[in-house]
Amino acid sequence: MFVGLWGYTIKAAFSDAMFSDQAAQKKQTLMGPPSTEIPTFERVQTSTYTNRSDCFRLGERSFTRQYAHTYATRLLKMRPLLVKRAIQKWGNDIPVKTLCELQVGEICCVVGTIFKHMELQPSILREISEEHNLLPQPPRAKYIHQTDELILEDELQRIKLEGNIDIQHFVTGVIIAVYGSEKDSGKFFVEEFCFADLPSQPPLMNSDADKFLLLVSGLGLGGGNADCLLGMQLLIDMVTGQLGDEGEQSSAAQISHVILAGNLLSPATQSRDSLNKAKYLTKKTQAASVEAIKLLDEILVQLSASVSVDVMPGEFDPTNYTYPQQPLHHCMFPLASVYPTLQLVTNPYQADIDGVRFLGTSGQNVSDIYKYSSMDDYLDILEWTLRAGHLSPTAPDTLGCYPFYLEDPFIIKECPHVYFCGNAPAFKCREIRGVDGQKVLLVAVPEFSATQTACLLNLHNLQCHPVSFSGFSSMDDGDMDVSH
Amino acid sequence: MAKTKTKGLITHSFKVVKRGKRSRSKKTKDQDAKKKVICGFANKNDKKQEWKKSHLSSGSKVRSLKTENGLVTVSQEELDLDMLKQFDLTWEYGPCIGITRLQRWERARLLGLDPPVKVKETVLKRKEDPIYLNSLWYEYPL
Repeated sequence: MFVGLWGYTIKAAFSDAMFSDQAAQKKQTLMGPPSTEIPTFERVQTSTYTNRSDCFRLGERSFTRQYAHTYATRLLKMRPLLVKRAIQKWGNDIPVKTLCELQVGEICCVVGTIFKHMELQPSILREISEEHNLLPQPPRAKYIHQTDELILEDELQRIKLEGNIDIQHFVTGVIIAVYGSEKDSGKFFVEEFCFADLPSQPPLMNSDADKFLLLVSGLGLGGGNADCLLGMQLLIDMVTGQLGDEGEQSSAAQISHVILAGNLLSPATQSRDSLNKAKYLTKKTQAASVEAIKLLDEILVQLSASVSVDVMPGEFDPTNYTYPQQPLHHCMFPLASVYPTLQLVTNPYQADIDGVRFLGTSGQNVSDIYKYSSMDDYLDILEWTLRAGHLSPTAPDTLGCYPFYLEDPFIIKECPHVYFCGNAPAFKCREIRGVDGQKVLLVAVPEFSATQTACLLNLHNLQCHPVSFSGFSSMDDGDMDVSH
Repeated sequence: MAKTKTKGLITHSFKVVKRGKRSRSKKTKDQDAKKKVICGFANKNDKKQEWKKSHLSSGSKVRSLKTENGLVTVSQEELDLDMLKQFDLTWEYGPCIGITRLQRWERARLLGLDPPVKVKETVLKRKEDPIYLNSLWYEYPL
């Protein structure tokens, strides 16, 4: 921790010798006479970069389809994976049947899609139906209820599930294999169940030296919150090496890549009032997002002049609403798009950076599962989606999704080395292991506008540390000694 | 207050989609007059006969099939369309509504379901014709 000339503090919480320790090893050069030669530090370059998000790019879009195709391809694609896991778990000789072949009392294994019937799930049909005379439901934090039930669907039939299955731990759209038998009541009694689990992982070919990657999300520009702007400027200054003494600056030179994981604009920029007002009132007003994008452009030009930046769109950013979100258009960033280091990417985003496979989203998939299940921890939900083998199972049920028909791009085909989600309430990270020896680092990137925290990831040993910024202005610092 | 129901037919709310209308608009009246009438030993009231009369063009192949009514001649077109209809109705390849038969065939191939190559060839032969290219229910709104 160091205190600079202007009284700003930068804290980095760490467990082993990391970023700030390296900085402290070099001699203190700040409080000294100005020198004739100015030391420069060469930034480490990203040696290999491959963008693997092509499956999330949509070319020509056609919305004349129903979502049945998405669910059908999901089930057809994941069925062989689940049968393989079921055989691994319950033995070679278990009968795998479809729902129409079920006999009462016979123990077997069935593979299908989960549908969760929820009482409190907002239904547009119920809202606009005049018969019930219902007022629209206010948005809730969680839509779970005691009377929810799980139904397993395969290509032709559906059956209700009961037994050793925690209803609130599931959401609609997950593909599972259940082991049990059908009872006389017509329901399927589940003894055990299994997911598709982690897919195979490509080998990790990371760099030998320490190289860092910065993960930030939820910048929340245009929200009118001046304090977070200060923190953001500190972050940019730290990354571009304009803060601190030589030790800090040389450490900052080891940051090779920055990923901005969504919600660059604040929800306050999305005002719906102007839609309902009369034209003569809204003629001369400008959308709040215009100013915010200009500010974002200025921030990005500072960053991309110095380091490679990947910008992912989020829930409140000016791009399409449905998953997968397409990259922000480069015409919005006239200053920054000149630099080739600026990459505008999709949400979800998958890439190989310096031999490490990254997969992550801006958090909409995780927050959607949070709303419709009893799981509270964002990291637990991340792990759950990875084990279920699908990025966002709730799409298209409760999360808007493009009507795919050929394939479902959200099925996780290859296990990433780092799996992250943006806009989490707090920073958390954990390493999980798979059955076949896969190792994944899960990172929940916190929202910067609320927590002023970013994540620094060491690509050499895959360890993640939070970096938090705080600024204090002279007005609220009461115990500053001004008497001489 | 109850609405007094006029004697409305279901066809007032849902438009009738007739197969016959399409073919008439496609072919000119001259062609209609020149159509060959195929005789078989089938029942004269056989609806299939009437359908054949309005759809056969002069160059199509004709085949004889033995049915309960005796010999009924069936054109290659009819057989092709029947095969495509069976492809649409096979549930193993997934839903058929909303996508063309080529797209569905491609998807079935990618998922490893081994769809018959003959179906693709038949569609590609007449892919400008929407009856061949699209699924059975393509005229209906989803």
